[in-house]
Amino acid sequence: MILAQQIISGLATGSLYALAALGLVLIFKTSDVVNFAQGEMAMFGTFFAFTLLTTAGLPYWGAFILALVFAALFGAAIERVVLRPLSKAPLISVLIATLGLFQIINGVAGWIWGYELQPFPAAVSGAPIAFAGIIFTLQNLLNMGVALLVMLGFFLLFKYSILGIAMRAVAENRVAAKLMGVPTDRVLAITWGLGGVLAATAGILTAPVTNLDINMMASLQIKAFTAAVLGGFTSLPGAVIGGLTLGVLENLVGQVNSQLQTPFAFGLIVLVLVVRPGGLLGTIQRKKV
Amino acid sequence: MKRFLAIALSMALVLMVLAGCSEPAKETDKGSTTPTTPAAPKVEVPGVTDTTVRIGGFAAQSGPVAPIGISVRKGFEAYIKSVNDAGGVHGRKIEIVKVVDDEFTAAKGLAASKELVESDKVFALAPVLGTPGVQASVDYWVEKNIPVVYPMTGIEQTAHPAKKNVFAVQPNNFDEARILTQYAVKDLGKKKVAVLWQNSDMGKQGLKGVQEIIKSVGGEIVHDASHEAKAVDFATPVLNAKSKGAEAVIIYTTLAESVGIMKEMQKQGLTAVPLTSYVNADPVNLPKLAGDASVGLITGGWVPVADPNSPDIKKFGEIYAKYNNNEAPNAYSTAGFIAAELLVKGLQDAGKELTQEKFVNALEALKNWNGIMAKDISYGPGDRRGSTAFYLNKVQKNDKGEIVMLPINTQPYRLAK
Repeated sequence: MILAQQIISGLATGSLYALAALGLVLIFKTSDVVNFAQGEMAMFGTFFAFTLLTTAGLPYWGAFILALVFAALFGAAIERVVLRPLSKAPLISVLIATLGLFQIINGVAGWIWGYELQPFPAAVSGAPIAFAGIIFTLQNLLNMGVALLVMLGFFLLFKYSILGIAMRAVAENRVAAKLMGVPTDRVLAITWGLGGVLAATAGILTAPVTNLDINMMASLQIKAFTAAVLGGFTSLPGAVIGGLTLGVLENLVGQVNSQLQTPFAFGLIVLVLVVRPGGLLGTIQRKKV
Repeated sequence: MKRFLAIALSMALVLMVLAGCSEPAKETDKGSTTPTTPAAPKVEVPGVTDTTVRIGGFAAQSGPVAPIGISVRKGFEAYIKSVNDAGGVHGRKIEIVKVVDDEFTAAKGLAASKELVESDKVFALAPVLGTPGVQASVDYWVEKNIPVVYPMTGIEQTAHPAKKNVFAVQPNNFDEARILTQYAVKDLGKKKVAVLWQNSDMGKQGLKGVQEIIKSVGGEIVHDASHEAKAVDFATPVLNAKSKGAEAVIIYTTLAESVGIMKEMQKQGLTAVPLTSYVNADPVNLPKLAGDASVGLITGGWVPVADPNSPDIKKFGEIYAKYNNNEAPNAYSTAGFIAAELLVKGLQDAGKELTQEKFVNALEALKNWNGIMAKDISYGPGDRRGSTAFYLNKVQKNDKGEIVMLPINTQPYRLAK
């Protein structure tokens, strides 16, 4: 009985990890950059939504949409201002730049919004539902739904839409894509804009659980990375599967020994990677740094 | 020849400079809190002259803990200034050399302790804020035998084992957990206790406290489980506590996790009584973050604030406002203020012939001492806990449906010996 509930709760938490991981994988897949600032972008977008909700008094969904718009512009701006000048630089410089962004965004957010923990409203409120002895909150269901929807949406985007194909082309060989007439600059800007949107979505859905403060994404980021690696850093469905798996694993291992739950979950992931270096669903990239 | 001249002249210059340095500096100190050139001490007591006593400490003034550290410093300085303006203690003004910004890190906290003791040569350390710095510095403090007044942290090392020169004030995790357990089992009759603790010093010491006392109060620990700091999923520990029939849940962790646990308890229908540490007893943020999941929560507390109109609280407010642009104090400036009160009391009781040993003995002799905000402070040979009286609070809904935190006891609640 406990087991079923733990699995469900694990899936619910895991879908938060999945949403955070999706943004990471998207940006990596298309621009080869591991965006260490992804979590901070999420936090910043969420604080923006918070300001809209409290100071501007907007209704929830209005604030949500506007925050996503803001996040898209924020992401595109980061690409334009920070990443594009570094497009010829070695990858390691770009990674350091995203690390720097992490600190900057974190510091600026603290300066603007302060350091206190704030409550953030859930997207849907209402009493938890009990089904076959297992308890879900509506928020849990929404998070799982959104994670799956986003995964599906991007899967379709990459496979069937022009934009998706363009993004894949830019990822595979930027120079060739440019020569073939793909507007690489615009594609990259759109990619980062989408990454920002994903980040803000993850943040806004996470904040009701973790409460909102400038460090709210910090521990989640590590889990997001782990989820992305577990699923294969180049696979969007992999990111979701990785996230859900991690969420459930943590709960199951926590049942056995609560103190070892984090080391154990990570140890298991290392094991998976030893056996399958590409992650569960990823492909091995031979030319990466 | 030229070379010889050059060498001779430079040696003469060096000798002149050395001669100039060895003259004692003039006594210009008029007894304010601004740092002045220290006079050569007449006695071999660090930081003490006939007209000043120098103290210093560390507290985060930047970064996420800055709001706390800055408040602590302001509360501390307010009281010291008021004492200095009234003439000081035994004709000595208290000079706060510096409050180092340790950025809430262990390395900087230890560096601050060393700097204050060895280069600034302070008489005592105060204010001292933050677990990382305290933890890193404790052994050094003992080694140097420097008096430390009120290290602001919950870790048990401040009082267990007792260190002669370190005087704790706020209750530590171990002692507080024992009190909460005693209250839950004996006063509320909830014998089956679950402990949900953070995987950190705070949580481990809290668990230890519960374990130490549980049998003697007639209860049992039906379940205990840890979680990481910043964990978000509490399904497993709550479910297990519920399935093992917990009647009380001692939540020994910080605010965000406590909120998460209470919300999970509400979701899973675990109706056990939640109890938590005074670090979470925030009457504004707790209901704000937890909503009605917080109703029924019992929190610890060690400063009686039941009556905001009491003359002591008013006096504190006035002193604080006078030196802080009419601002109102908060919980952290209260802690800083209490540290200052205790320091001044020690200096007072030590007498005019001030030594560190007399200071330590003076504090050790305190029994149920009441200052303005400092209440019921006791020490003794081998006892450095300071405040052992608890003022528990309960979160409840008032007639207007608002969630408020109300005191349970106005008379101190203590561990039954």
